[in-house]
Amino acid sequence: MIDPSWVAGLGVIIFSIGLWGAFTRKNAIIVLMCIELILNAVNLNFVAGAAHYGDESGWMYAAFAIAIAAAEVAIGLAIFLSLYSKHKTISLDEVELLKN
Amino acid sequence: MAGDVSVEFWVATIPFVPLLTFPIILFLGQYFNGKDWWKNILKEGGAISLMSMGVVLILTSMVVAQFIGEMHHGQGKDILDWITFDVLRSDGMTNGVNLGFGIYIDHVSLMLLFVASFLCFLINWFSIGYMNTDKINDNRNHRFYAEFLIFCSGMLGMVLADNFLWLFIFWEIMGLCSYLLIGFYYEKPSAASAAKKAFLTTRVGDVFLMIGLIIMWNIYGSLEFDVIFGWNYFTNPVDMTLLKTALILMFIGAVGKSAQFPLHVWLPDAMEGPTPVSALIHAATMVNAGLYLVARMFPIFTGTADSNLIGDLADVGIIIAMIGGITAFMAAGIAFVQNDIKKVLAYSTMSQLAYIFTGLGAALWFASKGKSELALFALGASLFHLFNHAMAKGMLFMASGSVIHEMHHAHHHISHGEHEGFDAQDMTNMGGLASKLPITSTAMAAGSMSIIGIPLIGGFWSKEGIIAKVWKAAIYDGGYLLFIPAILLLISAGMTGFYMSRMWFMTFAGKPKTKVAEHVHEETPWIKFPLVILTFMTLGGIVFASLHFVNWVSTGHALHYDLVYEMKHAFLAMDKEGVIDSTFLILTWATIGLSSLIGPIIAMSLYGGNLKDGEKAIPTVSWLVKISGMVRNRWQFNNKSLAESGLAEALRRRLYFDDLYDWFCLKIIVPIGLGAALFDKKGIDGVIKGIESGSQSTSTWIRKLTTGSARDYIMMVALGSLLLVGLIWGMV
Amino acid sequence: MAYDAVSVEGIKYLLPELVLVSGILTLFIITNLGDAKIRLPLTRLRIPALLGGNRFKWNSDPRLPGVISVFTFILAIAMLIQTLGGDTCNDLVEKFCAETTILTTTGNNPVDLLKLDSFSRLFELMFFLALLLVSAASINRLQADSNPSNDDLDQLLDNRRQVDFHLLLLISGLGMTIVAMSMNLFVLFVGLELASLPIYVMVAFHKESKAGTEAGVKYFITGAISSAIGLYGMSLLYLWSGSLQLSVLEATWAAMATPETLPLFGISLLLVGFGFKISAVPFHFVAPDAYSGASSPVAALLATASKTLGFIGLMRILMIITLPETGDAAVWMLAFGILSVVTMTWGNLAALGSENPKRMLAYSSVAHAGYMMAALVAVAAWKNGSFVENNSGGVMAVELIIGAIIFHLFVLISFKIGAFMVISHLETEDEVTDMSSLHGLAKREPIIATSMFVFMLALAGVPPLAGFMSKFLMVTGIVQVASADVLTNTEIDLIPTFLGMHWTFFLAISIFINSAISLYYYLRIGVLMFFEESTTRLPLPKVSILRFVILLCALATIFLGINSDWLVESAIEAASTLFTNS
Repeated sequence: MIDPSWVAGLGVIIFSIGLWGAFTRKNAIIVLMCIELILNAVNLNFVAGAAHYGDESGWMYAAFAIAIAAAEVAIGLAIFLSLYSKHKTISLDEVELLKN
Repeated sequence: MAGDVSVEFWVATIPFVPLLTFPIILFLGQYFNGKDWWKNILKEGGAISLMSMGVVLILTSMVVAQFIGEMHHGQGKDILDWITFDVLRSDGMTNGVNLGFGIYIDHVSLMLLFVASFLCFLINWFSIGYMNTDKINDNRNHRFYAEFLIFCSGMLGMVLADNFLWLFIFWEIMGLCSYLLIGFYYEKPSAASAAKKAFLTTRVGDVFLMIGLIIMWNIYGSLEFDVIFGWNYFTNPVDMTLLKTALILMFIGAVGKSAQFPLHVWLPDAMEGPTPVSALIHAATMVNAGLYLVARMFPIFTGTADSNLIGDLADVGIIIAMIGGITAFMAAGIAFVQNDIKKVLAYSTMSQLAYIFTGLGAALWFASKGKSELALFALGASLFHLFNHAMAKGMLFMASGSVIHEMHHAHHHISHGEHEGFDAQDMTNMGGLASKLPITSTAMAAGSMSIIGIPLIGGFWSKEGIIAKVWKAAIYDGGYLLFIPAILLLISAGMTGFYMSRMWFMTFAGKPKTKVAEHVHEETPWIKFPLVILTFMTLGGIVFASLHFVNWVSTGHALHYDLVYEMKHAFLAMDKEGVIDSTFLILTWATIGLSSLIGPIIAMSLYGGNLKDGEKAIPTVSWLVKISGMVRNRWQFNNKSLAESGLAEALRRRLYFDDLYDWFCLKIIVPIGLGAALFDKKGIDGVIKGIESGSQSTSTWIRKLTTGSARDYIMMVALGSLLLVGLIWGMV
Repeated sequence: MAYDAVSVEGIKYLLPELVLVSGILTLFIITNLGDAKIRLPLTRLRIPALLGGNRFKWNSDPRLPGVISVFTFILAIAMLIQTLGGDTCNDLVEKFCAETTILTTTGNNPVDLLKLDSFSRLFELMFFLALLLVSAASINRLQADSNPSNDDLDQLLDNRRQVDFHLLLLISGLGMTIVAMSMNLFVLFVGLELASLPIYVMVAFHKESKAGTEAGVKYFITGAISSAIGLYGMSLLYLWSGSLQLSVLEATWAAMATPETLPLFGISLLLVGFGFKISAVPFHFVAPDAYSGASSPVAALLATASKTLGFIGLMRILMIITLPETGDAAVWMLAFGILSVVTMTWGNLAALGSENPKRMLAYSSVAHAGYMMAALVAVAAWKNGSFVENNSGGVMAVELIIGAIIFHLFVLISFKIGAFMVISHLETEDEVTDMSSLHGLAKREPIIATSMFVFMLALAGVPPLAGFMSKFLMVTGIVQVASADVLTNTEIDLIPTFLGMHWTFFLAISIFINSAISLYYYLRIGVLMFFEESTTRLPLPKVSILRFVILLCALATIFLGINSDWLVESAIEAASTLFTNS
């Protein structure tokens, strides 16, 4: 078995990339993809844990996490669609009506 | 104890019935003012308030009926526990604190409850006749009735409250209503300033009361009657000096509310309010609040006396009795020279309340010395006097209102609307009204006799009891300082006889002194009924006395009928064992002589006289008029030199108290006030404005941090997570 | 008692959830009934197959979905009430309590999934009440601005809109109940996502407006990132302990001799996820935008239900897992203390100058979150203080403070939702973006203005309304902790004790100061309503259901202020079941 710390380390890297991208990128869909990266890192952790501890529920957690991520993406894209139809843009910099 | 009945929940609704009714009157009055049906059918809210008072009276009667004879000590009931929490003390134990509203009923509160609701109902009835028929009150009576109701709920609530906090809250409600009602004719500058004076003077007393209550809280840890009255002084000793201070401070509050020396200056000016107000607030209920407070202190005195603290609180009793004695004498003196009929009654009130205070002082003195039987008797006599006085004074004010009202009407008829300089309240404009106002004159006669203490009528039974007890304390029990109030009371009894008779004879006997007085008729509806009822109550004092009312009100023992014993006790100074004490026999007959014979006879010779030829008074008072005529014809007494002397002038200026207070305020208090106002404007307001602008700019700056850009939000989330990680990891 | 979740004995404990599920199905099916016909094969007979085709008149009424969802919630509350009581607690008049049941997975090694006890039942009641009020207020709101010329089509599209909205409400409700009941951190997360995803959509629901879509996008993005980070933290915890069962986590944490890095990272990242939900600083930035862009009933849901979700999660993590039994400081105590003070102050200061009533209410929610966080810190200080010897006294105080938080969350429903309902009523007339909508409300609608004033006073914590009681309990708890002879070994030597008081005393002081600051902007609303002139003198359009809800909330606020004993007892009972046999 691979030492789980390697897998977790990869998870950390992917998490950081995702986190960095989330607050750096302007395009909303790219941000969504970065969120997916973070959730991917989560899955890696779950899988590593499940393999290391031999815990069945870890696999289940991973599967559920994927499903929830998919649902989240669906909802996110739907919201972005309505954003686009109204504002004609999906750049996060240009939606600044509500502030202060 | 067997036969003890418990307090039911519905008792708690008694103070709230009027409180819930007054907004109705206020709203309806605002919307429907001026409409015919509002004026004539609902009497601008008078009918609504009368119904409300009727409900209260019925509920009170139910309570009284339930408890008469069945209750041996105070019953309490918690209605609402509003805040309860456990305070953790430093030794690890918890202390339960409870701020809530509850009901406490014992015989004292039952009696006052009955007095208050009965008089509120009758005076409301009276006001419908008095206020609604006076053109000057048109379209603002709803305000009157609404304020009337608030006041009634305040009085009822105060009497039923089971802790000093709620007693104080209702006390303040009554003070507010007093201000509103005295200043009812707010367009008159004299009324407005009278209201202000009343409020400020009682406020001074209230401050002391509040401090006293805070000290009580400090001593006992709670303001509830159950806790304070049941305190075990053996296991939990208290600091006696502190307790004494607290009780004296609370007494000062009572002094303010009940218009005793030196906070008495507001009562005469309070006559600016309409007469029903004077009847209710300043004769029958609010001024009794101070007396109620002092009566409530009684268990503290008995409680401390039971433990080995005998005599420590005796000074408080002496102070109360002293103030009472001085006020009684002073007020009676000033009443000698008053020409305004209401002012005579005001000073009479002051004087009679002083009697009750003296009696209470003696009772408390006895209690602190451990002589509980004497104490209870004195307490009972004082409270009985309160009862008699409330009934009689309420009726007297209402009767005087009737006189003034009819004089007004007569003046209208004659002068066709001119109001120039005619004072309908001045007794020198009256005279010979006994034939024209039969019911009023009878009522006033009965009331005056009760106040004077004519044997067998109302106040006689109680006044005699008070005087006897005070003298007993002075002579036999070593309270030498109590001699002063005792002597003052005796002299004041005679003075009372004089000035009350003077009032009656100037108004009703003799020949009319002005044309207006000749044209007076008794024509206003609604006024007669309360007068008749109260006349019977006053004359029925003998019934109450023979039912051992005194005993009932102080100890709760059942009423039982024993007329003979009471007569013997009153006239022959015979005590329970049948022994006649000669000192007291002399005392009794001296009091009777001074008050019922000498005083009235002097008054008759000065002011009495037969009616005009051809006029007849109603049989109930015609004998009085006849006697006065006889006396006047026999003894002519020239009091001209007395009337113009310096003493009379000083009395007319109310012994210069008003001037003294005015000077004090002008020279000392007003400059301090101006200085404080300046500091407030520059200093405190400056700080407030600074905080305000500072906080506005801070707010704007903070809100700018919410930039509206989603990326910034996300960055904040990331930073936040770093922060959390750092703080948590770093702390370890 | 442990039952299999899908067995017959177990399911009957899940009746409220089943009612929700059936409500979802009903909503789906009833609104889609039409006059479609199926031709029987090999014949010419057409029989009506109800699903599809032209909708009937009665089920294209846009009010129908709302009514169905309201009924569902009422039924769910009824089912909830009949699960109360039981052997261990028979006095339902005194407090609200239920027997503890555990539902597990099927099979040979059952894993504990859901625990139904007083804690979860009370929160379920809270969620259902909030959702009930919101769905009642949303009956036929947010019409689709479509083809006005064709009435039938218009109505149909409205109906579709409403179906979507109320479906989302029901699904969110389901998720919320799972959060309340969970015994496993991941199950909690699943429930949390199930509850939050519909809320993201509901915030963005009014897609015809710029504000709505923008609010939806921002809220979604920030929320998604926060929950992703939270999930990552959870996975770190999983890596560390090998299981996400709360009991196992608690044991593993307690067995930890010195704090290790991995679980600390996990806990802190997990706090990020929940911190977003309760809108604590610095995760609160999107809250004002979300509240102002969403329609008011949805904002009300955000302010009450979402916050409660976050607090349940926080209580589970902070109280169960990381609170030590013996005298060491909880690792998160200082961080949380600082955050709570900053949150309160930020929220109140920002609300001071706010010009938009919905943003102002958002900032005030932030401040209220701060108060409750401070109370959590006090629990930590007590539990690890020298009172531990007197164990019964120590645990009881913990229950008192947690009970105060639960009580506060409960009464927030009455006046927070009430306040948002008043704004919602104003929204039926015109968009509310500015305080001028509130001007002169007293002359136009006296009863509504009075109710709003009552709500504002309750939010400020003025006696005798409900808000005072809860704030009082929390502050009492904090002060009791701070002043009782406490703690010398907090290991936080940087902050000295002041006058013999533990530093949690400053939390109480800051709550006082902040309450005073908050009174300004709450009373300002009253001033605007009663003393300013409005642009129009007409009364508001008559929406009886909204008025009914507003009145109900006002009465509840007053009632709970005077007579809160039952609720306080129930909250303390709930808190005690939180701590026993977790």
